[in-house]
Amino acid sequence: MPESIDAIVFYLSAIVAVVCSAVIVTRKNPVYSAVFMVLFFIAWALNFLILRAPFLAVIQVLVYGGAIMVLYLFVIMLLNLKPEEIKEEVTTQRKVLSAIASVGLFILLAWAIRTSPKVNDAPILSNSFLPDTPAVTEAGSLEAIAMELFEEHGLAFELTSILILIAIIGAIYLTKKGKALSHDGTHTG
Amino acid sequence: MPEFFLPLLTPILVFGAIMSLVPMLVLGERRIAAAIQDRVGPNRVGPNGLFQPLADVVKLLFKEEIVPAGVDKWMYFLAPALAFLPAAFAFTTIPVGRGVQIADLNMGVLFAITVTSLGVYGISLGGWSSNNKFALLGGLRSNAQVISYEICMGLALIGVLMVSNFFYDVEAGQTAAVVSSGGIVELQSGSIFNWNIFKQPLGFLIFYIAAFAENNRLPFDLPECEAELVGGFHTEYSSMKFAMFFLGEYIAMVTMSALTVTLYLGGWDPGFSLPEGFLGTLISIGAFVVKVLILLFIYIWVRWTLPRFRYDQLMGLGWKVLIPLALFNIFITAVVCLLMG
Repeated sequence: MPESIDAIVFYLSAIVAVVCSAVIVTRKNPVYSAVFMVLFFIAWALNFLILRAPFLAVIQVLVYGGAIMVLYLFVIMLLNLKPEEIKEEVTTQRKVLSAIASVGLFILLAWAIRTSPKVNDAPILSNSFLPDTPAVTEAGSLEAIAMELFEEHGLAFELTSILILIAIIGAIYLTKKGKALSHDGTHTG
Repeated sequence: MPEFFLPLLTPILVFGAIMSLVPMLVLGERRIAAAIQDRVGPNRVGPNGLFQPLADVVKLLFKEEIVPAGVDKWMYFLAPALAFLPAAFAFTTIPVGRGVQIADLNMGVLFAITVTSLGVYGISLGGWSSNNKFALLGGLRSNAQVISYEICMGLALIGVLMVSNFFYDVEAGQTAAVVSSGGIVELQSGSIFNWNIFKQPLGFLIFYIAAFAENNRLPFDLPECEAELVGGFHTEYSSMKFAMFFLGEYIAMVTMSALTVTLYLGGWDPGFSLPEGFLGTLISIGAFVVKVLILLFIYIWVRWTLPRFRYDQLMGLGWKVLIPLALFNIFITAVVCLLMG
């Protein structure tokens, strides 16, 4: 039975994800786009669960749904632009160009996945739905991910953290630019 | 078909228990507040005011529902539900007794934190959609506050996971990540000194302070702060929609208390070895409920004792005090684990 449940969950979450994506790009009001983005992340997390990667599923919702989108929403609400206040005109030319670009990207990705030997030869992914064998559940477990991250890709992991640190320092510098700070932390000039 | 309905029994009982606890909690809050302020409190409806929650619910149901002009219709109606659902949903992974848990997920603790972190959308969208500057300010504050304190909470949690896995190694002689809430409670059972509060006292303090901020409770109730923002994010809500926000806040309190008990106070462990069978299960549920009620009492006690923080003080406490302390806690835990193992 698990296979058929997997199939039901997959098709339901895929439909929700596709509908959400359509809503995200068609709404004039950015708050709606942000909210449907959160729903999209949750639907997509279900796909990670079907692939027996619960950690990725949880982290997806925790980081993107619970943190990053909250910040996006914060900025959108802080600006609080009405749809009629947004001056930028969406011309037909731009619509056509972006449609061509997205269809092109879709074909490219589909072709890449279809022809990649890694995907087609992988024993796990060649089945339509995953069996609950120990090998499958262990591949997506927290231990396996931690091992990959800290043993195999330890250097890349540390470099990423430095990159993020640089971004934080840069952001702080930009907010303080041109404003000297006095010692008690209040702006003076 | 009793076997078919058996899996449904625990969710129904747990959810029913939370939903019936909330009205009593509201009454409890009013009575305790009265006692702290040397008043009598609500004591007219029923014996000792016991039926006051019933009267409140009837009043809320029959109140006129006012939808202000210029609200964003969809979000305005959706927000109260969004505020209420995540908190109730998070209870699925919390073990309420020995073997009594709706789902012992592999990532139970992370799941609970994740779901509670989604609760902020209800508040911020409610504030935004009301088309009211006070409500919008409340929603914005809630956004920033929850994001900031979630970081402290996550960092404090790392300490718990570290000690859990450390003791797991020692006892079972094998390595396996214990991120399931059931596993974390199992490791704390047996003796009162196995509880994580004794292994992670600093982490407990950080987590509990962050829990107050996550739930928008005083001294951190800046999103509704009636002295500055009228009613904050729920200024424009009335009748049952206001009640949904209210319900959401109280369920979030219960959930956070239950999560704190699970992570730091031994979960369902009463501090002595439980007898086998049904009696032991009952005692374990009782121990869990008592611990949650004690934490809820502290919530109320703090609310009516401490004054409200200023907004910049709140942010300062989160970023400049709690996050460095939480990082220090992780460091110390790592050093101790290394020296002991």
